[in-house]
Amino acid sequence: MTTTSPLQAEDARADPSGDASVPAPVPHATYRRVLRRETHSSRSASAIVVLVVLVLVAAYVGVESVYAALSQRALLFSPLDTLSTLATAATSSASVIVIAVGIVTGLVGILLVVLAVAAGRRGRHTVADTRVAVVIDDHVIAAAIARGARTAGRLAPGQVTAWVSRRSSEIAVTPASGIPVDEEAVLTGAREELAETDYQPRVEPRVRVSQNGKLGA
Amino acid sequence: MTTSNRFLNRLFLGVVGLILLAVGVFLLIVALPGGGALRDDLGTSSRWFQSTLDDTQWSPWQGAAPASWIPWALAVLCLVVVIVGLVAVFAHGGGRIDRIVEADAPGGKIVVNTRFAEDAIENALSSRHDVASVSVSAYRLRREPALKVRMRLAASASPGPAIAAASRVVSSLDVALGATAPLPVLVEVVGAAPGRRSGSRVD
Repeated sequence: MTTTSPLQAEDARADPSGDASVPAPVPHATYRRVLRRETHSSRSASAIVVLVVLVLVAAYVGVESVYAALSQRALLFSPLDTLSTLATAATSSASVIVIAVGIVTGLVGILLVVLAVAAGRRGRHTVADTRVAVVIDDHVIAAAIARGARTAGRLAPGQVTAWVSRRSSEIAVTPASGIPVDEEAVLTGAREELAETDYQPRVEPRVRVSQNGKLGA
Repeated sequence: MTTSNRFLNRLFLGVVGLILLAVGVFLLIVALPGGGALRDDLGTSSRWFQSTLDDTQWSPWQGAAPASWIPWALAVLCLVVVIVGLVAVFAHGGGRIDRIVEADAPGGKIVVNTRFAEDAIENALSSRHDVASVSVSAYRLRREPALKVRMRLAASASPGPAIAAASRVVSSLDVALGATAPLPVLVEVVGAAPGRRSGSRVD
């Protein structure tokens, strides 16, 4: 009795409702995790830099400790003298150096805390799709918007520049001298390009026409 | 898609940052004229430390000159930090695999190499004019294989059709592999300029 149930489960998985060409979708949670990882910095680079510095400092202090333990002269500075040196330096004219070191150390500390806490977004959007998870670099979107806006406004390649941030896009147009720019057409072109792909979060285009025209553009 | 532990990265940066911040503030208070009490404490603890060094005399071997064991302990601690630090550095990245399917069939074990998915996807997409290049790699994602398709678009190409094509190609690959559970696939669309992360400005 019990031996048949695993077989049945196997059959149900291999052929869901008789339609083998449509496999079960990838779990939503899996893709959500992948997309979060791909749109945010891993902080691996910063962590590796800090780790390498830490290893170098620990290696140096370790060597100095062995010298101190064997009662040899220190290479540069004995770690056992740290407190007494600091006690004398803080009260003497060398206190300026201590203050400077303190400020630098504190600033590095603040920088690391910010790196640990900040979101670290990577300038990427995701695109909804039924089968795959998609991430797309913002400058790819910007290039497509710039092309769409340029062709819709009948402009030359050098006249349109586009930026894409998380929720908006700015399209800067430099008009050719004496020829007005059809702002509405540029905006419509950008909107049509954006509507072709389901970017998340949505990108809202804005057009800015430069006050100064360009000769022969 | 690598197996680097991002939470640990951030925790490590945060802890080191807080320690450095505390040390910096301590140095400032001690050296600034207002830090009288803390400065006295520093002198006291310095004297206490020197006397502790004298109290912890110890000979590592017979006939050796007696010295405090504290520097030895410090050396061992540093060695541990060096080893743990190096292990942590090399634990980053990784997670790449070369097999996308491993199944036990009645006739034996079935293994599909990553090259197969790579060839299939690259061939299917390379004929498109809006796709400049495609590369495929496989990673381990929560112990299951997953694919990453890196698609470099031609300059100013519209991403929508290329993404839809990639999605269709992956669906065909599902049929070819005949897997019961679909492979998680990430499509990463990058632009003509490689390695440029920020600066989404394009003329």
